[in-house]
Amino acid sequence: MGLELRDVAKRYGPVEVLHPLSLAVANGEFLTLLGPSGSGKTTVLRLMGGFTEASGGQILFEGQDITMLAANRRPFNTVFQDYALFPHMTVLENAGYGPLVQRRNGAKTAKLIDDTLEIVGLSALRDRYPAQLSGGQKQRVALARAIVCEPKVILLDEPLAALDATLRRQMQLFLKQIQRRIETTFVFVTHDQDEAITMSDRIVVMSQGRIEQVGTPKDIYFKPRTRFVAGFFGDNNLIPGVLAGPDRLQTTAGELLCTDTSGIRTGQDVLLCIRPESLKLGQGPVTIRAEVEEAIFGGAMTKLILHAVADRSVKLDLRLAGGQRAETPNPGDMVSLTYDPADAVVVSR
Amino acid sequence: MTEMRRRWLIFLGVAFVPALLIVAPIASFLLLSLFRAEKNVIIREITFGNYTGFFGNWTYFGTFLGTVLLCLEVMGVAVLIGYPVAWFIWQQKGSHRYLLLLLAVMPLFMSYIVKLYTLRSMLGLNGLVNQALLGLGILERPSQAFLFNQRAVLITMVVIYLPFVILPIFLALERIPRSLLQASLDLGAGSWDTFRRIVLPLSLPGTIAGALFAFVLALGDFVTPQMVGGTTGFTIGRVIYSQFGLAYNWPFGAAMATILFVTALIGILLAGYSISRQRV
Repeated sequence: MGLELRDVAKRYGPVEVLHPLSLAVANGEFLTLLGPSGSGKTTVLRLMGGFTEASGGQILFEGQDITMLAANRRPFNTVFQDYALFPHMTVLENAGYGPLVQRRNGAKTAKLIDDTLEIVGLSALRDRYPAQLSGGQKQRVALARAIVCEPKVILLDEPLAALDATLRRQMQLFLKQIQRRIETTFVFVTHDQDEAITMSDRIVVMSQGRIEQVGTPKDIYFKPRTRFVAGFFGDNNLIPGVLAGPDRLQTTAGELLCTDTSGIRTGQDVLLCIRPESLKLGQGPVTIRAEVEEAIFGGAMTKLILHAVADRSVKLDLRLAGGQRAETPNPGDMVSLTYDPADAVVVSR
Repeated sequence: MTEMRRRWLIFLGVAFVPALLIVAPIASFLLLSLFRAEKNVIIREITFGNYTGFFGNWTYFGTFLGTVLLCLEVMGVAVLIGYPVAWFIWQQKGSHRYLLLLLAVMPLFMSYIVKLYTLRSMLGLNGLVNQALLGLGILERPSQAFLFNQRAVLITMVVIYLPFVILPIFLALERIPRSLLQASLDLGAGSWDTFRRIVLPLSLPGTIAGALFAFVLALGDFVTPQMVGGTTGFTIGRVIYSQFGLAYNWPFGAAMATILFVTALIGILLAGYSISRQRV
């Protein structure tokens, strides 16, 4: 059951910020809405939270229509991007705000607040004011404040955007651990691909007010279904061509193979996507002749930038495992590249 | 030239104008209040006679206390009216709210004297207030209760100082991030809880500032009581004015002005202290 959007759309006057979309979030899931700014991901979150009214469609929770339910009546809580902590209240008062206004009090609630502060590691800072906290600590208060309300779903709007890289990684791990511990559905909005891949059970990739693809991080990373998704995660090798048979492609770099061509018709213009880590040096069922342009030593990995001999405009990118005695080709060297056709995927151009 | 000396020179350059225009007049008043006047001649001998005379004479001290009370009333009424107005404007959306705000503070651009005369005619026997009350059947004949008494001073001061109260309250409300209101709603609070626990405490510094404006401005106002106060609307401002303008007892007037100044200062310090206790 869980949370479900059915053909939910959002228009501001003539501007369609969200085309009708449907999406189901399972209970206990960590779902990430990922996309560049303006993709509509925050709009989806605000619709779920009840801060924005849908222009069409239905929002359901456990089968109940909650489309018209006000934010304070939904069993969801939001962690806001700027944390939205109450500056005139201490950490403890902030965390206890939900129970206070919901008129839940007594020893049980007090213990719940204490326990939650313990979980997020803020017990020692309970009497501090938000102005006396660091970014990461504020983040934890915002999370604790939501958890204390015992929501069925916690909505997180780019909660890590304001943190520096190190703290961000710590908080990613921390959020994931908390989510497992309290067994609550998390809907997380971010524009950071790495963040989405590391944290999520499933990712919803959005672009220009539409869902591009929904899937597990592995699916999204290795099996993109649209051109946008194929180009969104890191350096992907995208080779233009035409699908010539069920698993054969005609490209300017030669005839290439790909097992996964679902949803594509023969004769269609396509892009073949091969992850840099799926490309290998050597011969195989498919071989691409290529010339090395650059070899960039990067510690654990060495990055090779190459182009196909048959067509210089086809740029290729591959990763070699490092190691002190590893042999790496030099710029100008001619090499053979291969890949497992099962590791490649085609998307329509 | 050393860095230290340069800093001192810059400080003196900046401090010169305020020193000349603010500190010097106050100091001269303080000094003047310690002299005494005999038959319109100021005798330059240090004495505290003006102060003991003031506190020992109920006519003066009572008027002073009455004035402070009146100004507190002005402050209270202005905040009670100004806060809802500011809140209402704040609730509006788009260009609408700034138009309303402009209307609310428009009286600030008008001449003080014009406003006084307008109010005087409105509160008078044939004024708008009486006409309205007659028309509504609340009064049978025009009442003189609205003009030339203490109440008239109160009404007029509230009307005149209302924009000074609305503006800082509006600005304080405006400074509250919308996300705090959404967070409060999100955590299950209704609009009354959100107002009581979030909006009101966070707008308190602005409200205190607005209240302070009303209090201090009312305290120093001697024209309004003169114009609409009649015989019962006698305030300490009028007394001071008469010491300078009619009785020619400048030292005594200066002593009362000093007491008034200290009262305003206490008000400002109290307000400053209570604002600094806010964690906003």
